[in-house]
Amino acid sequence: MSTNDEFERISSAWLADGPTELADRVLDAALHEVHLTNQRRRLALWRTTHMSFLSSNMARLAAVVVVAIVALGGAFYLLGPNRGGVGGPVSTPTPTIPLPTPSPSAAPTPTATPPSTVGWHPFSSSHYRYRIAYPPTWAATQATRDWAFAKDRLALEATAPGGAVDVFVGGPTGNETAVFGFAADVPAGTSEDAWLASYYAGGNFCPTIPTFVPITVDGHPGRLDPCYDAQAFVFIGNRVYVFVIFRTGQQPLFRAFLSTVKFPASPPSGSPAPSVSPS
Amino acid sequence: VNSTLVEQARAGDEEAFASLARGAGDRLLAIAYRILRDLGLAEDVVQQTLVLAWRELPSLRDVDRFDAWLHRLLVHACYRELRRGRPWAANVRVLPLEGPAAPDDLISVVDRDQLDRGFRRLPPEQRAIFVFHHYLGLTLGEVAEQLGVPLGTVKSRLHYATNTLRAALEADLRSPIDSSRERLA
Repeated sequence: MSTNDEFERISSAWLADGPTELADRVLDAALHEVHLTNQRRRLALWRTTHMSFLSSNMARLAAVVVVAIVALGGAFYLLGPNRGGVGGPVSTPTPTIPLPTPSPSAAPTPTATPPSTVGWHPFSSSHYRYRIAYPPTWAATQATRDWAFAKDRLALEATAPGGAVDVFVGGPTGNETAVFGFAADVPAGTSEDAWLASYYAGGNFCPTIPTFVPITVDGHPGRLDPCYDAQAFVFIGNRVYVFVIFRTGQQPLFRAFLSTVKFPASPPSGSPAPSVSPS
Repeated sequence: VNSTLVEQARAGDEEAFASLARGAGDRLLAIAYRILRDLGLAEDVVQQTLVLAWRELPSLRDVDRFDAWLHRLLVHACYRELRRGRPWAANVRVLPLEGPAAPDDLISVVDRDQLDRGFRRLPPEQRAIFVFHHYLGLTLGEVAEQLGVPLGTVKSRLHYATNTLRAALEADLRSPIDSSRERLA
């Protein structure tokens, strides 16, 4: 390439070549989905606009009712049918508070009820030592190396078969859903919030740090990022376990995956400590 | 962008949002295609972005920044699509069926192919910055603002992207095909 001008000319011509009109069917499909999708209303906004109308007693009563509903729902979920699991007793599968209603989409499982995990195949992560189960029609690939914060956080290579994450793939050809699992050490003195802030810095999945939903995975408290697709983070000791599903509107399926997770009794600490500096 | 339409859409008016979507759809597709280099993926991403924009619109504080906000949603959807596609996507790309000459005289088929190959090697973040700067014609400061990354990061990513693509083109100059071409000439 002889000059900058020459490069600019060639690259500009290359970029200019390509489609510039959105097909009507795509726009129609999007607007149809919009019609089925509720706008997200921020809790804070709801509180400021509505809570003032409630007396403190009314608020307490409402809180009691909500807790009772959640408890009854949780009990039904835990004691109801299809609670068999794979790889040992099934851990508490539901979040500690109700998840936001997933937005309707073209995803094949729009219901909020997690699918049954009966008959799912057990998977024991040879690299990260957790156990999980996956649908029998899916394919699973073991990670072969440690997930490294600085190297893999924004790298495509980490997710390649045989890369730094355990990969589960299934669904219709050409429209597959993927679930990743991996773990990383949290440097001593780094808070969960600080680690997550670094994880999300530079645009990993969400534009900003999302509003996390508390969940419980194998008896451990965790955080669910419902932004776009879904990610779950469970901090145990100096270790963080991360699970990601790459398909919008598949939180029920994702929760089914999480319900089968069993963490190792004592997390290993052999992995190199990641840098918490945003790359 | 029409601020009134944005305010109406933010308040839940689907018709207002449809107007905004129609106005932005072509631009979103053009950007997404140039980042992803795949029309099917680009269409998927635009659809996802529009639905997400509708869902998250109440969180947009400054209606005058709707376009930038929409661009950022789109770019992050592109990032996710690129990362999602990698594990199982066949590493085979269908090259356009073009004749011996390019559609115009500005760029050869070989250059186009080399740029395609080089571009696919770029991380998603570098792709986006390259497209925003060279295709949309935004200044580096505007790119930084739209993508929500520091100006220094924009500069460095654009630098690496440019170097990669220049190297791809220069490799072409040294390629056997080119040498053959020179011999034939």
